[in-house]
Amino acid sequence: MSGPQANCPSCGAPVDFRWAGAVQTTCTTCSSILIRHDLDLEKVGQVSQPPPRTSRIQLGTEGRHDGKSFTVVGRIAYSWERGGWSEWHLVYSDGSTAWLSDAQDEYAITRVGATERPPPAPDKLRPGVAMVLDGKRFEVVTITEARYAGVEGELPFEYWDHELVTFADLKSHEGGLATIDYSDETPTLFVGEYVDFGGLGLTGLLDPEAQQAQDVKTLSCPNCGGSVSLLRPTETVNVGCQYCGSILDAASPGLDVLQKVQNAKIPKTKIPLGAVGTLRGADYQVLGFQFRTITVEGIKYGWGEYLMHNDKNGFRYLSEYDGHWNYITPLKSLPEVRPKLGGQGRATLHGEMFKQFQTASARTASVVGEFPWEVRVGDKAIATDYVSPPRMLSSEMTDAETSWSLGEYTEPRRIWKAFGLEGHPSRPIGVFANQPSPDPTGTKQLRKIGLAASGVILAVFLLRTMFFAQTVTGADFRYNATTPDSSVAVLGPFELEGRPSNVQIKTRTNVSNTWFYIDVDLLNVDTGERFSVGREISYYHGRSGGESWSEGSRKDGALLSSIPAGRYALRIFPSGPSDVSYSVTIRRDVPPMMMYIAALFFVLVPMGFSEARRFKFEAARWAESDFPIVSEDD
Amino acid sequence: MLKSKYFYYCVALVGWLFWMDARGAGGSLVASGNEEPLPESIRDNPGAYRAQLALRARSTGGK
Repeated sequence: MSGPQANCPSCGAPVDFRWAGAVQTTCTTCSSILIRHDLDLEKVGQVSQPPPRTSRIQLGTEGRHDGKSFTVVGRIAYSWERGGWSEWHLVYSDGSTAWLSDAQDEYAITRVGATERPPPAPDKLRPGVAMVLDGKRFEVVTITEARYAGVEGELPFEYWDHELVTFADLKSHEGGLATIDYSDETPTLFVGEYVDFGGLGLTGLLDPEAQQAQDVKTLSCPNCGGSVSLLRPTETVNVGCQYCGSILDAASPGLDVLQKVQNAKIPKTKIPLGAVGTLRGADYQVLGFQFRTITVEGIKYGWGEYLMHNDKNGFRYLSEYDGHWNYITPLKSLPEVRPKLGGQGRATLHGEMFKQFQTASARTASVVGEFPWEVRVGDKAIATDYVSPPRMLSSEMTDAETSWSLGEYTEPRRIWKAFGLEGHPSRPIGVFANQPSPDPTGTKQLRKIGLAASGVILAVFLLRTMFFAQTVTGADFRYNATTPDSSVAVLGPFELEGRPSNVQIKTRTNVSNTWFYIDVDLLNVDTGERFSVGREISYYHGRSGGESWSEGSRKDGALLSSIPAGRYALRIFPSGPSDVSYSVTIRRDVPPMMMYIAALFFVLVPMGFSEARRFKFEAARWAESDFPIVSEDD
Repeated sequence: MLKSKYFYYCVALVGWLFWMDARGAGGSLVASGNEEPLPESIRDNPGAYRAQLALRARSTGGK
């Protein structure tokens, strides 16, 4: 790609344009800012020093995106409280242009988007406000008051005399992003997508080793004189002195003190700052550590957050609370949140549903190490966690920003192994919000097996009752205590057929506040074989203290086991203090209910233990939340 | 491991239940014994048999 040539009006050096459409460029010899009027160049300003580097991208870097090659021809640099970023001006092989945004190792390509209506004024925006831009739904996540930090190379418009610029960054649930640039009177909308640095196939980058060698810096804390090492000085914005806890300005040559912390409690980090460890297949270096607290019902809870960096993946966090660790990735797309007034909200990310766990005001209690953004002791944010073990979605909201991250519960021994830490990790205390159940798969499978076995038992019982049990015979009798003839009755003879199986003798009576006793003999009339059983039937009822009560039953069922086929008669010898009408029914091949109940019990007991253990675990998890399963009143 | 143990435990339990049920087990404790078969004359005549039993009951004052 080549464009027109001209000479710098300031120093006379030749100025070569990479892109024919450039309106502004910078003289590479004298750093004059030049505005192009056809082939004439006008000097409008001077770049005092090159804009701060934010990545390995530089002018002339080439890459591919959307199936087209592009060249980096210009840059606008900004800084704000979360560090610095660059907007790289890309010119594609087909002549189109775009912007590659590069901030804290996150990369996005945007183009000017279409708006039916002018975007709202910046003072009308706040994080969480939703709007449709370029045909898509977006939510405001950040409102940035940025400071213009310089330009270089070729730009499609004049841009050199700005100081403070307002930007609104928006994200969609599908991973898209938009930026409203309030640099000019008429705001400009840019829409695009996050891109993977490695996926751009960039060539002509700054040499990483040269950058690294150049970068390492060791300075002294101006407050306490302690040694402060900057592992990534070009990106670091603030440093927390690990001796006195002061917050220092990494951009100033002498590390100006930004915040002195009285009686600072310097946290003892479990992973040393600067340590490099391999987690999830990538090497991360620990840069900084914050100790943060929340106060719930007057009790202060604290946890540590390690900031880590990997050249390819950018920044990640490790959090640690009472021995529980989480690997945390900042999210580029927004989850769908369904709040519930006065209840437990839900959030969905990539189809996975998370339950709201806790909302609290998180405060930064101490800071050590380096951070690529502004950080202060006392910083506050409203933190809301949603859990779907082993994952946890977290949002942090301030007046100017809402950020989302996804944490994944990580076994402490993995952290120890990854960073080669000495000794053993401390044993986690209690159950953490997104700690997976000890054996969720086992519990589910046990439940499946137990329910299947119970289903089989119940189904067979029903089938047996409905289709196999037979009523053989039956008759009604009357017993009168004063009539000797009624003290004996005979039912039968009747035929019992088939294999040896049980015989049920069902008795129904009209006893009321009395008892009735029968001796029965099941007698094989041909062989004389006899099976005898005695049964007492009693039923008492009444009212006591205004409530009715009853005890016993008017009916009874005696089951005789393994009765062979044959011709039988039933001899009945009733006795009791009063007159009783009763009926006797003979049933054959009846499912033994008590055995079925016992089998069901023994099937369900192990499953019940497993479920009880799971419930206890879940109750302990949710006890720490805003939505306990078991309230303290229970 | 636990799930396979539990699976076999359930299979054994269900198998035992069905085997016991097929044998006609699960009944109450009963006393059993042998007596003389009923005479042919009253085998198919419960009325006569009941009368005989009633007579015996009256003479013995019970069963």
